Amino acid sequence: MKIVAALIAILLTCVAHAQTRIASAIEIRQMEEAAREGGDPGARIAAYINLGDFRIALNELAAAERDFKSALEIADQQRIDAWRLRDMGQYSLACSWMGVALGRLNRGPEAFAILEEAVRYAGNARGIWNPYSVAMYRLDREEKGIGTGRIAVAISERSASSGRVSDHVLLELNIDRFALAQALLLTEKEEAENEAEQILLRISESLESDKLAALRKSLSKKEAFEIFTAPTTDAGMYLSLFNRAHMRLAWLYEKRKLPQKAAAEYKAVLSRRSDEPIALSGLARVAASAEERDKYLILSLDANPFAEDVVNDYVEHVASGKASPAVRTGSVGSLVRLAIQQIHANDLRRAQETLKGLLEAHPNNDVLWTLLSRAEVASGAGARPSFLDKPADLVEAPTETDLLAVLRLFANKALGAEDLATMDRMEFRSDAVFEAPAGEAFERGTIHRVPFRFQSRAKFRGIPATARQLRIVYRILGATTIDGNDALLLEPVRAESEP
Amino acid sequence: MMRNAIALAALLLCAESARAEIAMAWSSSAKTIVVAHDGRIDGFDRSGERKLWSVAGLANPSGIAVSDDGDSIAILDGYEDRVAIVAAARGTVQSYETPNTPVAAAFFGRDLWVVLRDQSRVRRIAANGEVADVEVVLDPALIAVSDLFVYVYSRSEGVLQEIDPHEAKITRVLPIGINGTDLEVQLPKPGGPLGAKAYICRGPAKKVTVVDLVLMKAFDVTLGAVPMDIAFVPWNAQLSLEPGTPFVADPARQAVYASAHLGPSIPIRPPTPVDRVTIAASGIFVFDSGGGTLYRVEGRNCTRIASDLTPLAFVATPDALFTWDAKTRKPVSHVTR
Repeated sequence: MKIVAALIAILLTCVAHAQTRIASAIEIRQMEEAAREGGDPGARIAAYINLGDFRIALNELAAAERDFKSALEIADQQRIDAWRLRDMGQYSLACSWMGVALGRLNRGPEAFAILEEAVRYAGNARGIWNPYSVAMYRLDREEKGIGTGRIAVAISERSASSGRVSDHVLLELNIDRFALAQALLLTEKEEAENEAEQILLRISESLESDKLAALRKSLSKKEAFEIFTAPTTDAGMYLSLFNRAHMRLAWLYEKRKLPQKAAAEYKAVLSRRSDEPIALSGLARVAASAEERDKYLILSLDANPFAEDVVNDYVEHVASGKASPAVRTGSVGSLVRLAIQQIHANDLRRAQETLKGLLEAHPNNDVLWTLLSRAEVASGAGARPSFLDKPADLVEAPTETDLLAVLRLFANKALGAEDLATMDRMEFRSDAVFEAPAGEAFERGTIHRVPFRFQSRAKFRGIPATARQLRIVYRILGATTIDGNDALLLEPVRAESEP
Repeated sequence: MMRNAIALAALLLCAESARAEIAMAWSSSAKTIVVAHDGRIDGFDRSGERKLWSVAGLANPSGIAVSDDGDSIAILDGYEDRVAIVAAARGTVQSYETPNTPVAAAFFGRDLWVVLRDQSRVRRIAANGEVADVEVVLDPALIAVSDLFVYVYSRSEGVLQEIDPHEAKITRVLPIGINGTDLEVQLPKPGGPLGAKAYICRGPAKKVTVVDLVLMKAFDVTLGAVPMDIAFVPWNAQLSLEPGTPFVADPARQAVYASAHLGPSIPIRPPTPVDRVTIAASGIFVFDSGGGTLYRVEGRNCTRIASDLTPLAFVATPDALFTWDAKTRKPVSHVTR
């Protein structure tokens, strides 16, 4: 049995959950065409996976889910067809793709089961363990990601050590190494991070080696720049790998408070693609001066106006008073910056106009809706939180928009008796960030940047008061103020774990 | 496919919704059908009609193993890294967290041996709960036991490792080749020459490797296109077939090979590809993992028993073949002897 698929499922994970990049219009168009066109199902599945990840970067989560479901449906059909044709290599490969799609849909146990079926049939085949590792990484199962990543690397190293090695085999090996490094970093353990750093440096070295000189030369001639989760060509694999390996090193150095080393890695990324928004926002974070920070944030928002973490960084930058005045250039990024500055200046009517204009062109964008909600809350307008119309005993992870809306309703005493009774019955579960405690108890913090205060200071059994991030279950009692700003008044029910 | 050494179940999936994972086993000593489903483990009498006990179980049962005496049944949750060991007669359960993915398990006496793939370890969980780990070669995937040793096959390097179950130490290692998909240990015929043999299906290599476990010497038998799973007619089975006859499922040839001596033979042709074999006193059954269909083998014919099943959602008892009815939450009998 051979795996002779036109496209083996080779995947690169996104750099980190909080680090998403936006695709260029060219990349999205390429992927949409590849997804629509007939032909190799593997290429269509890869296209839908790439599109889904692009949509996530654009904060279009419902559209992303649709893309991942499309990938799943095609892969399932391919699995059924392969089984009927008794093509066990294709069957294994299709199972592998299904596992990836299920992982991206957060259907962990099913992803696990179908990936096990894939490796049952092709446990020694190159390329079969990489999707397994990536899927488990995306599901936050770091031990599984590491274990399967090590198997992937071992198999690829065996292939790469036998005689003359093609560019493709070498790139596959480095992609397997990258998946392993990603999973190691997820553990946040020093020893694992050190191993990951060595792996990432080895990848960078390999990408610059003489063995890949011809490929690098061809990339320069073609001026290629596309970066995908599931690259389908050697050029795509090289560029995606180059981007993500350097980005991950930069992230690691940033975490270790080594700004110069981090900046060098971000600049390496920009050497291949000058409008890489994550690298630009990274350079903003490690910038030595406010002017430099301002410059890189502007460039990053021009490259991706919808990256939530960059938007939040820019909000803070504006609040610091060191942002240059936003100029309406017509780019989406400039309008997002303008809206943020208008909100900060309390020019709320114009901020809403700016954002509503943007939403006409990007109606499914969650970041724009959140900014609009902030503007509406500040101005006293706005919508009802969704959980009031669809009550549940336990509301999982209410959005910033919903929390802001309920805060506004409480602050304006705009909740009727029925709504208040509904609120009394509901519990909520969120990841909270706490401020330094007063004494030995938890008192106040933020959920999605929405400030809150507990009704009375709380201790949670088994959790030290030094913990800063907790997953909590709580009831919303009303509105209060913290430092002159509106905040939610909460009754803690329990803390479950660190998120 | 024997159930004292388990393999993980694959799911039949549909794009829109998840299917519950189910694992079933038969306890010969307690005469109880054990079913892990929907976060519970239930015991039923041999007719499947009467529920004897019910205990909290595992979220995603992915494998099930039965001790030789039938007293203990182990259920794995490979996704959540958990193992539950049930006393079949009483319905009491001991749960254990594992440090990483449990992918296969087998009982040696009353001790459970669990393969923890992602850290290349095998864990012995003794009846008193004490734990001992043995490091093995990368990608341990398959496990089986003889009357003397535990055997673990590591797929990445293609080696069979013999472990002394009392000392929890590797005693011998035999390279046999990669691509293993199933491992069975066949004990000698009662009264026959001594010495157990191991059979490793190496589907993608088109081979079944046979290992003399006394000498630790191996030879290959080329068989079919992708021989995935092997099972033997038990020495004490009251079937019309010669005890010890191997059955090999080959989905790529849509074939089941069955002859007194392992090797090419005129195959049985099931209506769809099959890749798992189960043999019990109530019959010989082959399973189509890709389509979820279960067949009974009678002579050279295969009769469809049930459809839309997952690989562990059925059990052959001495009396009948049972599947799980999600509506009535009871085992359903399909064929009787």
